[in-house]
Amino acid sequence: MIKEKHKTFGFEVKVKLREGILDPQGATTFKVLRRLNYNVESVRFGKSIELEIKEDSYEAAKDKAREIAYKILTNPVLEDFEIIDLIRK
Amino acid sequence: MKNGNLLTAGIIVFPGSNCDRDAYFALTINGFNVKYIWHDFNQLLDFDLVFIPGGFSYGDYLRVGALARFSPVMSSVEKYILNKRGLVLGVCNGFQILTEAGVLPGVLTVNTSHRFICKDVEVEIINFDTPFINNVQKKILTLPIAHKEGRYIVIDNKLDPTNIVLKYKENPNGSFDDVAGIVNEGYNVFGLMPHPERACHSVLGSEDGNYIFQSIRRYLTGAESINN
Repeated sequence: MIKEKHKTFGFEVKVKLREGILDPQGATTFKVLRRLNYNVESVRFGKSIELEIKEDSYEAAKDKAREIAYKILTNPVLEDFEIIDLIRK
Repeated sequence: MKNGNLLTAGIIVFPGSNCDRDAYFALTINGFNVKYIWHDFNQLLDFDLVFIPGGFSYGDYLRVGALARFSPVMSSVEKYILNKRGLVLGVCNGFQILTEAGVLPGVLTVNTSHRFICKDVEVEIINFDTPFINNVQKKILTLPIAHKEGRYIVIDNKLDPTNIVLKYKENPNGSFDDVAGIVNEGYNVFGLMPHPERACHSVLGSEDGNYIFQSIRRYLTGAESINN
């Protein structure tokens, strides 16, 4: 049951492969960019997931976002994540 | 043009192409002298037909066809097209590469169903004026499709209707205007999602793909066309 006083908080979860894990998509794109003579040092692919969470407080919402990111959105063996606050419109 | 028996075709092979051998088979049984062209060289393409086959060039990374478009051979293909040296046929991933290269208008993206579709479909011929089709005597062809990114999209619906060559009878992927295959303005580049090279022998269940190869053949040998 969602109570009236709950507010919505927005977060962006940025997921990328951990350092040292081979990123074939990034490596392939890197090779093509180098072939085209761009002075690129590295290319890493990631994904961005936006969450809107209803909670009493910002802290509680951020905890939920962290929990979702850790338990569901990523596999901590392979991936790192970062949570960024989204400013509400 | 050239004597009929000497027609040559080049099949471009990218890392990840997987319909190159089917294309080789189909072109050979239709009387072409066929060669594979590795994508890594910028070379003079001296063929009557250049075939860009299906598959997953560069693993379909970034976007389908996006990285293959920068392979050295693609600048040769662009010169070949500009000089009207011969015809270019891009099937499936080949079609995607040609749109990424800007040779053909529009773009191909994920099917509305978000599923990989692999089945035979009926396509209707809309424009009989191109070399690829003008010797086809049927109006409807049965051809196999096998793609996840086959939904044709064009910005602001800007597509000259005369560029549309094939339309699906029953749109499988959500393509704009049921588009299954289009040509460029010069009518020398044809891109299509269905695989004619997988329908070129009775053991494959359909021989309708041969209508396209035979049409190309008749055009290149300067034979009189049936429809014009």
